[in-house]
Amino acid sequence: MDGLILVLVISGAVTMLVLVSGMYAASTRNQVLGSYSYEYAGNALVALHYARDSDGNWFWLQLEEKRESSDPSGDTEDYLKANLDLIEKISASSPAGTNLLCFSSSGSFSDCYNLNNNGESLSPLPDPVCGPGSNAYSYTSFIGDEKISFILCY
Amino acid sequence: MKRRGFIGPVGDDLPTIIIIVMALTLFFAGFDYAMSAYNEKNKSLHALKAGLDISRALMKQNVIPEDSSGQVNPDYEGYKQAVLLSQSYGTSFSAVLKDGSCELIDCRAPEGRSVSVFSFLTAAKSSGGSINLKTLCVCVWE
Repeated sequence: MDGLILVLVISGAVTMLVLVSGMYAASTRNQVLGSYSYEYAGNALVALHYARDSDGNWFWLQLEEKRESSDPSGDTEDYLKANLDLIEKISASSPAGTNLLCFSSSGSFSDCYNLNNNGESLSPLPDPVCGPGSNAYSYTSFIGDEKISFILCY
Repeated sequence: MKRRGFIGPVGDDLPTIIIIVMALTLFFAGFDYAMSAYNEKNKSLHALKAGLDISRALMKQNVIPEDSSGQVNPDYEGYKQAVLLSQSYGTSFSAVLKDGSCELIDCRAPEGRSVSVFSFLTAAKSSGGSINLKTLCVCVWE
């Protein structure tokens, strides 16, 4: 009888150990993805300041100009589609399967563009932005009066 | 004189001993599983931290200077810092500038090592002075 009680207690302890180690493994995976993605997205936004478009103009300045036009959504999408080489270069370097470039002016995103789909505009904007079941990691900076976010979806 | 049904002091306790041995085996197997999961994750976190710190050193300047072969210039201050950081972590690394993704990259790591690859979008300045967007692939191994 004592032996059986011991087996029950030890089985419980082993189950707890396995569960806790599983939780630890899952939490570190998210930590790893989060740190790496944050670092990647931040550097990508800095690097975009040095990129030139197919006409030899500074990409960042042109993008800023498109965002200040009378039709920022349409002009941005047209501009991204006219610079597919650059868009492909960005998405090829990313560790994530889906990469979004999003703009916001008052807290919520106004426009998002899928860099893995030729800069196609996400319309209507999904909620959450990466779609249900996906994790989003992002870095946000400023472009003109707007915020620009590089979002990695896993 | 022999007593019927008595098979010695150990023999009488044999069923309990077997159960205790099985229970302890189960416990230590579970403990070993949990410890190996913990150690493996700690190892990957160590590699991640080393990889990110080395990459951060390499991207110390917003524009990475290239040498004549189109790779990170070893005379660049960020590269020297990355070497020192790598030594302090007890790891080795290689950094490759590419036009595309870091998949199928040759990390030049010794065979059999577990290699973590980190890729970053970066601006690189060629020896001719032109600046281009490139992918910086950083391979880190123990």
